[in-house]
Parts: sequence; C-alpha cells; structure tokens
Amino acid sequence: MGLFDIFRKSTKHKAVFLGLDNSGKSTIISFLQEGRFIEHTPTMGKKSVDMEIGGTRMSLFDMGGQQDFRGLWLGELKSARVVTFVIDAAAPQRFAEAKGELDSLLPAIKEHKIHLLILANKHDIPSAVSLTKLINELKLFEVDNFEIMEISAKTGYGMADAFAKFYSLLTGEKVKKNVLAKAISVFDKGGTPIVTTYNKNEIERVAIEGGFLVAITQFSKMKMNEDEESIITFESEKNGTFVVAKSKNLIGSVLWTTDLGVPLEQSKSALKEMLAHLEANAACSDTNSIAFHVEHYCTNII
Amino acid sequence: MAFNIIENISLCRLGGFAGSNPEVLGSVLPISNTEERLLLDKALPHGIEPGKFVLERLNNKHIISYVFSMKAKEAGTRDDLASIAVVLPADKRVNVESFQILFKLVIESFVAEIDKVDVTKLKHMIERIYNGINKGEKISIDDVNIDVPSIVKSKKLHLVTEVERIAGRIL
Repeated sequence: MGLFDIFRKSTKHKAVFLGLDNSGKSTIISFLQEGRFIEHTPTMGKKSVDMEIGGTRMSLFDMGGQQDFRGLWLGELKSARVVTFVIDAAAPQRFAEAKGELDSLLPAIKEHKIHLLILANKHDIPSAVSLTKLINELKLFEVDNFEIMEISAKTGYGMADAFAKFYSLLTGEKVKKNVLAKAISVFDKGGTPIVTTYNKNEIERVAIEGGFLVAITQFSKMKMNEDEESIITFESEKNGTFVVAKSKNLIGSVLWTTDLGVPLEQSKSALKEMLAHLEANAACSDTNSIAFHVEHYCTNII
Repeated sequence: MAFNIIENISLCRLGGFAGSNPEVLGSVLPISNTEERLLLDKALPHGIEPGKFVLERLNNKHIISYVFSMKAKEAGTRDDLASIAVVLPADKRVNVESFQILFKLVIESFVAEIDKVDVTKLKHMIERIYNGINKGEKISIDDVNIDVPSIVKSKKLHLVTEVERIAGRIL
C-alpha cells in the first residue's frame, strides 16, 4: 500500500446476481452497463464486473446458473450487500426449481443481513406471469423481507426503476430514476410518425405539433456523414426543447424542459441510447414492433 | 514431417439452453469421465468470453483452447459457449509457444466456419486438426486448406525440440 492510498480508499459495494441458468443475469448486468440489450452466451462459473457511479464503486458478481455452478453461490453471497435473484417469469415450468434454490439461500441471506431483490425478468414475452402470480407460485409471501420488480432486460422495461432500487439497497442512499423527457416520439426515416408517448401508460400514434412535424420532415431529408453528429434541437415556446436524433432507420425525439431538473446532454444521451437499442432489437420495418419496444424502453426515460 | 505432439483434442460446450451443464461433446482420442471433468475446468475457465485463446496447465500437461460461441439449434435460444481444447505433454520435448502460434493460425483460418457450423461438423473439424498437426499434413475443411508443414517452415516454428542424446556421455 502506498503512503497516500489510505486517502484514496473507498468502499466497494458487492452484489451477487443469482438465479437459474437462462434467467437473464448477464443480460441485466450488461444492460446496466451499456443501456441496451446485448445477447450473451452462458456464463461459465462466475465473473465479476466493476462499475463506478457517482463515486460509488460496485462489484457485481454474475454467477453461472447451471446446476454445476450453484455450489459457488453461497461462498460469494456471504460477503455481499445485495442478492439479486433473477427469475424467468416466462418459464413457469422452472418455478419450483427456482423456489428450491431461493429457499436454500434464505438462511444465509437472513444470517448475514443481506438485502434481497427479486427481478421477474422477460416481461416482454407474452406468456410471462404477473407479479401476483409469481409471488403465489413461489410462495414469496413466506419470505421475510424482499423487494420484487418486473423487468425485461431485452426491451429495457422497468430497468431504470430496478436499478434505482438496486442502487438504494446497495448504498443505503435513497434514489429514484431521473425523468429525462416529457415526451418521446419515434418516426420512420422519412419523418412519418410511428409512436408518441407522454408517460409509460399512454401510447398514442400521434405527433405533438405541426411546426415540430415540419422540422422532423426537414431533418429526415438532411444528408449526414457518418462521423457527423446527427442530432439537432428545436425550440418550441409552447412546449420546451425538442431534441431530435437520427439513426439508420429511425428518427427519435424527446421533449426536454428545464423543470425536469436534468441536463439537456443527459436527455440527448438517453435518446441516442434508445435509438441504438431500437435499431438493434426492433424490426424497423414493423411499426408495431417499434411501438412495442418504445413502450417498454420509455419506462427508463419518462 | 510428423509431429505427434497432440495427445488429445476435444470439443467442449456449455449449452445456451435451459438445464445445460458443461460437457465434452467429442474427443480424439477418447478420455475418461474423470479426465473430462478436469479438462472442462481448464478448457472453459470461469468467466471466459467467446473469441479468447487460453493456455492452462494441468499436472504434466498443457491445455490450449480456443473459446467461441456456437449457434443454437433452435431459434430464440441463446448461443452455446464452446471450446476446442488441445492437450499437449508438458515436457522439454514440446515447445508450447511455437505450438500456440500454429494453433492460433489454424483456428483463425477456420474462425468464419466455426461460428456457423453444427456439432457434427465441428467433430470432423477437430479430427482433421488432430491428424493434420500430428501427421504434418494439409488440413482441408470445405474450401479452406491449411498446409501445416508450410506454416511450420515459413514461421520457423520448432514444435518439437530434439532432446540431446546423452547415452554414452556419462561414461
């Protein structure tokens, strides 16, 4: 240890991600890192990922979910602050197995006073069960103390809320997700509106206002070089600042206002991440697919 | 130019499907169940990602592996994590650094194929790599041909070091 290392020493909070194989642990961790869905091969044994957010250092342990690796779980769990137990909500045939594994962890979780966060993943799959059903199926009402949330690490549904909860449990700081926009709209590359959303419960296939639409249409016709930042802002006296960005097949916009309390740059980044996510995961020629993905992803922005 | 350096070559996998566990899908030459367990720990080490080459040691053996993702059989299922693992004796006769260079060149020639082909084809592939390197012959898989003796010559690889004959010197 160097002379001044004591001043640099900061606590690294440890969290372990557990759950059956194929439940989506690695995908959740990479979504937290990258802000978008990345498909993974299965995790061999375990791996750790270090993240630093707002000066808080976190070590996330991604534990392989296969039967052969479950013997490693307890060893890592004992020194963790948070156990995130991931369940594939669309695989009811494996609920009994998941419950068995969770039950075997509960004594150690209680003994070491570890926070338990259960994530019901794969909400994007139509056969995914509701939280109520999952709680009943796994008899989670018998578990002393836990938090449970519904997410999709594929579409992004609920990821920002889940991360805010995870971060609060890990650090003890009360945080909630930032609202980065008042509205989100997505258009095809010709400027035709596909979907506009004002909040996560309200999806409408309408545009916001006429002058804005004209700007979108003009923007769609602008030719841009690949290295040029394809993002513009459009001031509206009535509404606020529209940020408009272009990706390969889509145009997206967010409505930003000062009262959101977040920097404009943060909303710009969120818009770019959303477009990258849509390009990678939605069928860009299918408006229903785009609307579905926007509906899920916007839970992280609005 | 026969090298007879590879003791075993195996295709290992951790399936992307639900309920999988690490397994050896095929080996040239056959190995026991106990050896399979030992090999899997080295050929697919913890936390390994596709696209990596790994060199591990197990007792008196070197294990050199290439880890890759193998296309899932069923649509909607994630890809498998797989590796082609070669076992070499860890003795003075074997130059493991030279072998690594050769193995990397051979694998890189087939990388485009490896990511696409199925298990049956991969089993053929490991058999041809085994024979090609051990017998010092051309390895031909589909349209790709690798002339092992030419690579060894052009890269000046010394896969096998002749151990000095000491008989008669002591006396």
